[in-house]
Amino acid sequence: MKKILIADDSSVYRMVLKRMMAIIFDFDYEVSEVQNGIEAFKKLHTSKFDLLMTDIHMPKMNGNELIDKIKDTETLKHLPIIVITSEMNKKKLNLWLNKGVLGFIRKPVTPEEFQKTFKEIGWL
Amino acid sequence: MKEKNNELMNICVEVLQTAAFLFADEWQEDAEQFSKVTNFVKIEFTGESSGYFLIGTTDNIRMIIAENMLGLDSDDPLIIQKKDDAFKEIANILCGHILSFLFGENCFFNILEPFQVSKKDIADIPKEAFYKFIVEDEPFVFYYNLTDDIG
Repeated sequence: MKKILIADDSSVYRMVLKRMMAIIFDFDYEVSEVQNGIEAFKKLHTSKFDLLMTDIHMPKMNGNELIDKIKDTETLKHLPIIVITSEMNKKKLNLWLNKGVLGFIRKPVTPEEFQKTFKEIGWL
Repeated sequence: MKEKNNELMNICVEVLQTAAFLFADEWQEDAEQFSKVTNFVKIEFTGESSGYFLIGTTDNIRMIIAENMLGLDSDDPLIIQKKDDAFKEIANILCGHILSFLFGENCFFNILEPFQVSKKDIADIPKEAFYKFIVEDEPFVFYYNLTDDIG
């Protein structure tokens, strides 16, 4: 059973991502949701996850700060991360990839792109 | 300028199509068309340039956006619950796409949380300054303002 944490302040987008998973995933999985980086960081300390899907623009602690904190934490630094954001920013993308982020999906997410990303990380 | 405006319109149309399966038609000017826009969401940003982005449409289109984005049945009560958030999320996505277009793919922005504004709050913006088109026979408009306008 794969355990996935979604961090996004938009309840609508969390629902969109879960809908994509229901359509595309052909394996057992369990999803937890949080609304910002602080909640995500706390959650990652209380349960073990196989993947974090995070938005970038979130209140309290944004996705960039969350990724930095994860990569600075010995027990979490190998956690696979996929970034979901509306901007297409090559500098940021390279920055994230250099930090060990596995993939990047641009909003609005399409089933095709979602599937492609999960194929690339070897989940499909 | 015309090319830039066309491209901005295309970006908006494509996002609405991909995110919410809404297809756009050209704006039909009539005296009442703009006044049918009842709901506006504003989103502020800082970074390479500061400013704000604004979208507006009818309540019915907001319901269709929620229905289509979430894949709900048209009578699902969640549509009413989620229409505000769905419209804000569309504003958020559009803002990201438009900033990437205006400033290129190497610029950093901090996009703040979207919030609803009333017609009164935006009364100073002339109607002509909005980008306008029709979806499902109803108006959809957007507008942006930059502190440091790049022209």
